[in-house]
Amino acid sequence: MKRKEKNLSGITIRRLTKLLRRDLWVLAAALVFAAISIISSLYINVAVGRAIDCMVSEGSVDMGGVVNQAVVILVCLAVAAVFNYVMTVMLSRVAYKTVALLRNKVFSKLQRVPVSYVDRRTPGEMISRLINDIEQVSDGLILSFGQLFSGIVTITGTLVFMFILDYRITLIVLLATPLTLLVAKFIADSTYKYFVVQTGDNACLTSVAEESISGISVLKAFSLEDMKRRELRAAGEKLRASQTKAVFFSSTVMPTTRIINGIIYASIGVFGALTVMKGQNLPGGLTIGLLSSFLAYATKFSTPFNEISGVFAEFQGALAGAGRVFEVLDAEEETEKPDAISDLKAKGDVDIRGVAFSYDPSRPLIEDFDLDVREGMRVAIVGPTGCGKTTFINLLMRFYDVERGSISVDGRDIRDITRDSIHSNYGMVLQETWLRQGTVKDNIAIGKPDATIDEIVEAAKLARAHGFIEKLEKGYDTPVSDDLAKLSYGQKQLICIARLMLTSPPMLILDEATSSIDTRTEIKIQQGFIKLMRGRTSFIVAHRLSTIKNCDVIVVMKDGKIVEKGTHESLLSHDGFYRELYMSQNN
Amino acid sequence: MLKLLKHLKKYRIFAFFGPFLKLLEALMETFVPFIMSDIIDNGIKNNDSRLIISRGLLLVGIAVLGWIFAISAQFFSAKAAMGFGLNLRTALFDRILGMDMEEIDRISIPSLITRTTVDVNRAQTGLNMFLRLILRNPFIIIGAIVMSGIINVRVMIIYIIIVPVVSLAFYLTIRFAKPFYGRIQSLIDSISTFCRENIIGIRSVRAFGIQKKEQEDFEKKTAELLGDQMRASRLTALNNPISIVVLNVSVAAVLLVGARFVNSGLILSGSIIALVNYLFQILLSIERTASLVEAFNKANVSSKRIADILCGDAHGTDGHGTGGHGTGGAATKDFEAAAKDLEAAAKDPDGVQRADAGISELPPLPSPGEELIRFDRVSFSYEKNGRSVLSDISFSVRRGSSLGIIGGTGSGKSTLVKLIQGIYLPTEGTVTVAGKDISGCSPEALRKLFSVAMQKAFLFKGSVRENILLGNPAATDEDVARAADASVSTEFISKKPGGMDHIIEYGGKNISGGQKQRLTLARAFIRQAPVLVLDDATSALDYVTEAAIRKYILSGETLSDTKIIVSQRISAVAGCDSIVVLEDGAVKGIGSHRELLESCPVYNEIYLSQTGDLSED
Repeated sequence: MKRKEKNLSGITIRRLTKLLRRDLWVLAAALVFAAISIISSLYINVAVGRAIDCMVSEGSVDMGGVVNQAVVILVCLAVAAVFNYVMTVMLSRVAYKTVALLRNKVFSKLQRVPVSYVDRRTPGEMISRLINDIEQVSDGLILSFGQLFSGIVTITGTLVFMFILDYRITLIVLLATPLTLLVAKFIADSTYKYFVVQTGDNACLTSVAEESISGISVLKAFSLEDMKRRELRAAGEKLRASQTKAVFFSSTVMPTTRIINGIIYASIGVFGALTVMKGQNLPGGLTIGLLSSFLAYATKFSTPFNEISGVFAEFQGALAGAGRVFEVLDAEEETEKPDAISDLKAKGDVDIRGVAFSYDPSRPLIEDFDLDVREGMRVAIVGPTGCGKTTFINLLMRFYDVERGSISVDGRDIRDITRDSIHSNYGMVLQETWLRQGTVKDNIAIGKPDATIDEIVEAAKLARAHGFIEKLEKGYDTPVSDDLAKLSYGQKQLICIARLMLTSPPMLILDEATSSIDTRTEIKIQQGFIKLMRGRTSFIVAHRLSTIKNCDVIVVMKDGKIVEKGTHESLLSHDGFYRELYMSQNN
Repeated sequence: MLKLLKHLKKYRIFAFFGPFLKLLEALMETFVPFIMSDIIDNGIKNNDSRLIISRGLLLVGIAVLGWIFAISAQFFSAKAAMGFGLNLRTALFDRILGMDMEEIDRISIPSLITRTTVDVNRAQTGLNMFLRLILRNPFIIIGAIVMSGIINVRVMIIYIIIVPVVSLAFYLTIRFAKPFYGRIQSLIDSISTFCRENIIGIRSVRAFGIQKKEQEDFEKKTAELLGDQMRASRLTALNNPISIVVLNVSVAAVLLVGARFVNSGLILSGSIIALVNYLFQILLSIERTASLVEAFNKANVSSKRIADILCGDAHGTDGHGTGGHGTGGAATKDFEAAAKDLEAAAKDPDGVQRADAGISELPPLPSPGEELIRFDRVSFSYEKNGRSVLSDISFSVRRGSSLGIIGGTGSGKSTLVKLIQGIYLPTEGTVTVAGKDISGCSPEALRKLFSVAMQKAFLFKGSVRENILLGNPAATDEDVARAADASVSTEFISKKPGGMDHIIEYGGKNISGGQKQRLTLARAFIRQAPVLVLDDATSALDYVTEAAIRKYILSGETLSDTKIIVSQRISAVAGCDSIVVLEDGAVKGIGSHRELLESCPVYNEIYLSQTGDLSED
């Protein structure tokens, strides 16, 4: 199991490297720069020590020596600063570029996966991949990779400098360092369980809060505020207790490493001082100045270790994020047959033969579906919720492919025609309205980007949308988007209808296209629809039976099957399901 | 943030001791270089190994003391911050539960949720950071400056100059990068929204074949984001080099000046080492503060969002003039204030002055056949001097009768229902219940009058039974079964695993929209309230189910004897004793179905549109 995981992260890393291959040399250069910057700033400590050694006592200070060392310090700091800056900018560039690249790839993937892929997942899930996971990849892999490398260079560099200064005192530092790390790890491990509790309590509070606030109007209507208030208070108190523990225990790491460092510092101070004292007159021995350099190294020695351990946690998270992103990128795409027709200009004959389909193999939905539709016919599909009406539309549009049987347009199986080509032969208005970020004008012209403003206004008039559009602050140039509260649901639906009025495809699909529009406006739009439908094969899904009375054939569905078929009059003339539905609406 | 600190309440003492102990710890830290210089100047130079060892032990003792102070400080800070978070949450919930719907809609539900969860977490983390870290650094800076002054006053002056210069340098880079962060966040939001719309509209995107255009627009956004991120990082990348330069230039300066002092016998070389160390301490602290300030800013934004809610009354009184934060109508505001006073009174039963002096319970309800609710020339607008949503509405409802309200989208139906329930108060005119103006009634009392089912069905996590029981916690199993029957729910409930004990997830995610609506109806049916209000509550149901439910509502079997039914469908209201026809916020007719068919052209049109034939032109 463990090995498998490792293997997986190995693969993830390899794929990331492949993704980054163009920037690999930039990364390598950044690392070299980081090393140069770190080593020069480490060397400054030695220069400081040497300068102090030039100041022996009153009257015998070697001013020239001090100035020399000051110059060395200035040169080193200039090198360190410049390389540090360049390195940081290079690393961020690679990180942000990778984010943009990955986002574009994921988005483009989403344009090519089957509709079913998106249907099976929530939008939140996909967006979390696109925003958070990708962010985590760049933060956790590229930026922390830089940190990791800097940490390693700092540690190695410091060790080398210390060994050169005095190898015996270095041993004290080397012996004590694992202690610091062990303590930090011990605290982190024992804190972990508190964090698990805290995360659970936080999730619990969030769901209670979410529910109570979303349902606040119900709470008020039924005077349930006190009940929820108690529930929230209890959840809040529980979270407070576990959060206090988690936060406190995790915050003991810093003071604890500090005390260990303090003790190391004291020991080095004492041993160093004694060494200096004994070897005061020996050439090449430890001097006061070099002792101070040593102390400076020793205090900073454990810092990169703490940083590195933090980096590892982030690294793990980033790998998991990268795994989730690759999962999306690996999703299978919609494929077309190599010889599929891509320029279909349909007349509008649609034949449906023995079609069966289900989303979930254990629960058959549509079965034995047969329907012959000739060019220009108006076909209504009615039935109770969940009877398979919308699924039928999914099949007509090839959002999903049939399981058995076939659907053909003008005698050609639609699986032999590209999806794009099928779509361009249908005009569609769905119950769920959809607007794009953009102006009202852009939204109406979505199916015909080169439409003139006159054509757009004409379409809006037909859809009875012109009136309210003109009243918007900037008329046709008003920016809209789907989640904007500026427009009512009905108004959005009118814009979608105007879209359809602008294009003239040979076939139409209206899936509850007027469900959110009040019936009087609907009647007015109907005239536009009737004009539009003339000569076009049309499929109309409707809840309100009054709107489909004049269709050439009404298909009554129940539990995925066609239970009745005929004109309004013929269906009413016998005592069937349609009659029952109709009567319930017009009692 | 400061505004919120009063919510520390009983945790105030912890909030004091946290930083106080941090101060002691910082003090310990500033002693260290001083003692080390003693070891060097007096120990090494005088060959005094006893002094060296005793000072070494002193250093260990200081480290231990520092640890004790630090650990206690962390504990007190965590305690204070998390307690603060709890108090904030409680206060927020109380405030939100006390809000009227108008205010809730204005701020929006998702935003309220974020504020009680994410924002509170950020605010408490911010406070914890403040108590623990941000205060520690100034302590160290001041301590180090003082200690350097003890060694040599003239060197101290260098330090006093360095601090503001370095701080300014950091401040400037943060300041210049800040606008980028705002833009970066909004670009990320826009990318996220764009993607959401693309996913939700997948069928439309494919049907119109605009995948390429979507991709192009998306890539434009990511490129724009990349540009801004790079511009920001070019600025923030300056932070490290700046601190390298400032730190080491200062070190060089101290060495050059110090060498002169040593030469003239003012100080010893050990003191130089101490001075360099203090310099490190000071600059490190400034650097840490700078990085903390950025993190702290986030907490501050969250605090502001919380304070906006908690001090929300400010919006009512002066309007703040901020776009989108329209002020409530005068009447609504009074109502809100009254509701708040009531709440305050309820929470503080021993309070000397009862704030609900002007508000009383409802008078006894009239007997069947007499007038229960009356609208007298009622007008309403959501904003002061704004467009009237309802104008000059008058009608009355008798106890035991049924009232239908019909109208298209935007006709003002939903607003009218809210006025009936007293959720909004009229801008002009009066609404009376049993002869009493409802502006003088407590919202609690008014709510007891109504049992409501709304178009947007909402269920809570819990079993099906518990959800129905919310309408009447005292109801028996038979009552529950009856309510389920009446809402045509019995069949689908029995098909759920566990039946009545089937657990509904948060937000009712695991049942369909139609089922949710039926359970919402069951919850309303079981409630013992005189007036049943159905606000488009059958919109997600098919006609057969709706017809069955309608039959029950208009039968004499309901617990409520008075019914108010709002709908777009003629069929839903046709059976009511009286129907109000609304269009553009005005009454276009009142009467029975038959009367309206003869007298009201608007009603006729609606009727024809829903039942009549569609004529071809």
